[in-house]
Amino acid sequence: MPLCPYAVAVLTSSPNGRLLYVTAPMPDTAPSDAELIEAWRRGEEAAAAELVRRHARAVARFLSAAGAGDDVEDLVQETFYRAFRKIDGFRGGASFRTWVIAIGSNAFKDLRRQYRRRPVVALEDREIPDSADPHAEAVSRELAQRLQAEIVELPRMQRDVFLLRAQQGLEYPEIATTLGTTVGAARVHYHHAVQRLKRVAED
Amino acid sequence: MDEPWLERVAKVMGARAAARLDVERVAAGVVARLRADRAEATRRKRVWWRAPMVLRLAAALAVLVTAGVLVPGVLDHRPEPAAVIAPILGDLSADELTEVFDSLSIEAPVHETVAVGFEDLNEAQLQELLRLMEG
Repeated sequence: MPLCPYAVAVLTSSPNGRLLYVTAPMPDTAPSDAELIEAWRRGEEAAAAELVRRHARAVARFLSAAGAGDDVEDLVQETFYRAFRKIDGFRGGASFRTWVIAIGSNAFKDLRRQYRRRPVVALEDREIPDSADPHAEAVSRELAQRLQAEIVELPRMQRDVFLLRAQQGLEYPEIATTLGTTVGAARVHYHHAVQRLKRVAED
Repeated sequence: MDEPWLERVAKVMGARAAARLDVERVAAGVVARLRADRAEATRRKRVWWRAPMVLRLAAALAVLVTAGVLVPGVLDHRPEPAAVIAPILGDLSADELTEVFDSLSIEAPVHETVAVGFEDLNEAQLQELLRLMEG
């Protein structure tokens, strides 16, 4: 019987004396985010690099949807740099990923302020889902472009709440903790964002 | 258009940018910046401890002087120096008084050569003596 790499084999005997070959899932040996954070606090650079590998793409998706355009990679780097510099401020109220995304939102805000005269977002075909995506077939490219443009124009809190919930799949309590607001206020921001996006789509 | 549809659209937004992201390059960049920060912090610490002793003494002196300015304001209720010193001086002999002057590097030309006790000073002389001792 072939064994997958994520299983361990145990040789044991049955009551009738026959040998049995039993497999069991291999225990998850990957360190948790909390363990990596502790390792980074002790000065282990490899721990910081591993945390970047784990969460960089999620941060990039958020920033890109928020309108970061071609600055995504630089922004992701800046985001993690800021996060590790103030890692002592991470209390664990939200997940590390959510906390980093909130820092990314701040970094993006700073970048927009820095380039105030620059167009906020350049919509590109490459950001629109391609036909290989099952949902993309039901969504016109033009409509998706309009929606993304509108997301970028949403007030920051509405945009962040909408993306954290709709894109990152977070629950309201974690969103509220991360953004420093209440659950009720987060719900209201989400509602306003959805109403505004619906209006754009129906125009 | 319903809410689930919006969420599906949101979920695929940014997916290509994320896929294009060179995660290893980002990780290397972050680590390099953090390493540079730590090196800079270490360098600053070394610079401080390697600074000439004079600089550190100057800093310590500045702290003492500042404290000297601030503390008297706090201790306004302390007794007048004359009230503390006069009884002590009164018990000293002429020789002992001379030693006190010497230890304080205060010249006492009149009283140094004349064997007088503290009780021989009039009020004006005593005030002058106290003024000298207080600097």
